[in-house]
Amino acid sequence: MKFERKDILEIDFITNRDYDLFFDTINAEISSITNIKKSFLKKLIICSIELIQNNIIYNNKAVSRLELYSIADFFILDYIQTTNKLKFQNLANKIDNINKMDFDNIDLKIKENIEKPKFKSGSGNGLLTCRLKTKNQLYLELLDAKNENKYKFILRLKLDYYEKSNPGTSKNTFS
Amino acid sequence: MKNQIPAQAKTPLVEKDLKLNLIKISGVIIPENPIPFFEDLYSFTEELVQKTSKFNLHVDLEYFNTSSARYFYDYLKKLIEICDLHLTWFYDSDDEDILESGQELEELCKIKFSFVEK
Repeated sequence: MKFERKDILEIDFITNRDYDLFFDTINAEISSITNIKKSFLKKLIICSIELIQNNIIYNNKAVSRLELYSIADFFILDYIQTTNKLKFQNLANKIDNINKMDFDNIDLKIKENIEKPKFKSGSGNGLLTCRLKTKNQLYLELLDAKNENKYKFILRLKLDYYEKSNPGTSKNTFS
Repeated sequence: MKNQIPAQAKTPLVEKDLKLNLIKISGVIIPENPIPFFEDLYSFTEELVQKTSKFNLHVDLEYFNTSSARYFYDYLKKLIEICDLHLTWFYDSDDEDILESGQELEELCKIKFSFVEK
């Protein structure tokens, strides 16, 4: 049986103003989705904040797009952006490492990053938090690599509406 | 002496009540760079803490990003060193995420928070 993709929302972030107002935009758009538990919508908003702020902090507010859609009982958050080859490879390695961790270790790592931060800006906890909130793997898909400075990719989060935990393996492709 | 730090798009309203030795933080803490907000918050708090040993902090947040968690923890650690901190963490009954954030900070700070469902 094939489940159809049902589009829920798409938001583009292009200008500085889009990024300045990003929270108001996603909060208003996601909160207005009907027939979904408020606690679940909140997880979608928390994950969106972390995805977008990772782009703001580490990727110079590159033009990006947030898409939310559902397939059967899953809600999928796709965050599409472009970066350079080095940053993409670093992100891929980071995601691989996070996907290999179990939830107890993620919890410990988050606390360690708060207590003994290693970064000048940010906490290093954004993607760890996304994995914890989604109870799922993080997925990275390269869409296009025109040259070393134009790696277009999707960072994909998959949330089970019924919150069945799926720690899975370290595969970072999505099907 | 100012009695509040107004809320901005990514920072919360902070209010001071001198009679109750209380500071209340409400709204969202989601700046990409949390340092200026937490510096202001600490200066704002210092005025009150110097006058009293028992200090009440009410935290009533809707959203709280991961970048701010480390600075919030630093702020609380400083307060714990200089006063008798009584922290009340408010949360909505259907908001397990904010409750968990409070419990995480409580564990790191090694003091007991009061959790109050709204």
